[in-house]
Amino acid sequence: MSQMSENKGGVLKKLATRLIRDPAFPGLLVLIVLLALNFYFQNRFFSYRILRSNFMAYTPLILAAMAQAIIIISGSVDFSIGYALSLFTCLTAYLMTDTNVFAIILLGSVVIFLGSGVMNGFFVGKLKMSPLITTFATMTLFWGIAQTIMPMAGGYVPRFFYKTYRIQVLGFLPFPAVILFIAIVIWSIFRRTSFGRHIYAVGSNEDGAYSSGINVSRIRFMAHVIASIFIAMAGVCLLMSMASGDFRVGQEYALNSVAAVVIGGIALKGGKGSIAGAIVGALILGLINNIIFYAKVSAFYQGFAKGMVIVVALFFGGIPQWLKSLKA
Amino acid sequence: MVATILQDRVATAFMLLFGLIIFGSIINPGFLSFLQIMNILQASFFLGLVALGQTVVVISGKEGLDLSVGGMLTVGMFVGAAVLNGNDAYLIPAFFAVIAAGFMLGLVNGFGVSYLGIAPLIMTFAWYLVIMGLMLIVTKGRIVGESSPFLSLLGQGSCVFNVGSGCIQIPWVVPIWIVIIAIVSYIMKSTALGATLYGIGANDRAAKLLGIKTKRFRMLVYGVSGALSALSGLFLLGFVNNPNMSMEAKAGYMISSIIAVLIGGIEFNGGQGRYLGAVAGSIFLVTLTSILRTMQMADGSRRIITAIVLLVLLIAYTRRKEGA
Repeated sequence: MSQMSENKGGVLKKLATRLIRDPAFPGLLVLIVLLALNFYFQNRFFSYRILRSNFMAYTPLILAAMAQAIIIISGSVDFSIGYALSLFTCLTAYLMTDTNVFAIILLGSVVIFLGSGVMNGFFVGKLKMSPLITTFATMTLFWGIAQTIMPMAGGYVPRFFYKTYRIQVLGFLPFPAVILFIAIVIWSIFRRTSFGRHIYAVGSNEDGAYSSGINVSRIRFMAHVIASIFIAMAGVCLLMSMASGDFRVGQEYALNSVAAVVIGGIALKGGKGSIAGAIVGALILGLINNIIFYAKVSAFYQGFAKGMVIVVALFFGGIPQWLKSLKA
Repeated sequence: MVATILQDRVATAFMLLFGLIIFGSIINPGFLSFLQIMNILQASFFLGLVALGQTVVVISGKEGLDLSVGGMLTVGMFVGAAVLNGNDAYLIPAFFAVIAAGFMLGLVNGFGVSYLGIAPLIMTFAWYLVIMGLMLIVTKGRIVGESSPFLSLLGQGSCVFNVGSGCIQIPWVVPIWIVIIAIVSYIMKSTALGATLYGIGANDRAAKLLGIKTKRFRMLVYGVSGALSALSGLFLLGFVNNPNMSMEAKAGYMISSIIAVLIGGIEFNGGQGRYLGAVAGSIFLVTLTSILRTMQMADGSRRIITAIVLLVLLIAYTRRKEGA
């Protein structure tokens, strides 16, 4: 009996150390503090209605951050995610009618798959071009195409379709939560394949991975392609929540997806961190925006506050390295 | 012959520019007039100064990039306008205030990149958002102050030479730019400062072993980039008279300065490249925009073409490196 409880204590201790050592742990702490703050500013924060509306607002960024996390872990980065989302909303909202919703969503997803996934993956993986500057170029490309399709925000999204985003599955689950669940399931399947194992090896030590027989350029290509699945899902959620197309929507997603990943404890150099970290990071950014909104910060200050949050997060992420260099 | 020219990145950049001008004059026969060329050079100057900051940052290596140039430029415009307020007497204080503001804001980028190891692209873009947010808070979207007569003369005026029956007009910014190019080329080529810049860009560790404080130097490089973009903002203020928050986004200085550097053959790995290339790149981009404008192209299509130019150059330069 006593031995059993001792064992139990050991397991708990092991779990606790594992949790504390997890790169996402500081993020998790911040998340808890933010939840409390949100509750303070908005007493009904934990009510079902508010939770549901938060789910609707955060899901696109969470999905975008998951995509970014996969790409960054593989040792690449995708700056074009934001304007890929712009392109998706503009293209679909432009073409949509009451009868062709699913065909258009499929078309939009294929465009994201080919443009954001295959094209970026080809440039970065196969041609070994610098990911930052290359996705910066494809970002400009997506931006231009989205703006050409729809110079002004607008388009048409059928009512039944965007209303779907607001339904409750089985009477209690918010629809975006279901999408998120599906995304997480998809990732945990990929995580268990050889791709899921090699992506970390490629990201942390490219030469080592290469000499142990891993096809580095293929893994990096696949990272972009698989991430594009999540980008397309983010696009669908964004379209449903906005019920229109707008090329400007992408700007904040480019940086926020990277910031979410950094806050979630995923190293920008690649090879380290977890998708769960990206989700935590995206939630943190969402909650901060919530606080900025409910603390009644003037519209003039919002851009500054949002940018400052990211800068502070980036600085905090860099402090360990700075301390290390001071010691050296 | 062709092969040797292609080896030299700066020569390649000028060949690209030359080709574009020929293309432009085929589309629009009046394109190659002296007046038109001077107009293009005048408009290129503002981008060229921003591209100088970008050049220095890119050469300093470690994936160096500065996406906050548009923010610094806006700060330069507003600080300049606020200090001048239409009065020539404050020209020198305005000059130093603008340089100091740009330099200080740039140092934040430099600290984040150099000491905290944040990827430059992300650090400078986040800082750009903060700066633009800050400008919105400070100005509340209003226009504060204006350029002074002398600055406006520099920004938009021309020196006029009477030649025979006609006269030649050369915008003041063109000789100013030539002087800047000469000074920069000298510093980069023949001084210890230039050697240090190329050194830390090419091999940070070796530079450190030689006793160079690479981290501090790289931080200062971002400060210099901020100061140069802010200075460009001051000249731009002379060009447009009143400061304007949406100007930098409309002109797309962030993307343009990067493409100018790329066209100029300055490699993103750092440690290599010359400002003259970025000069050719800046003129190339302004010429391209001007051609696309005369073809009545919308913003979106212009952006697509810019992106395609960027991608083609990236692919070409990467391929060539692999082949070498």
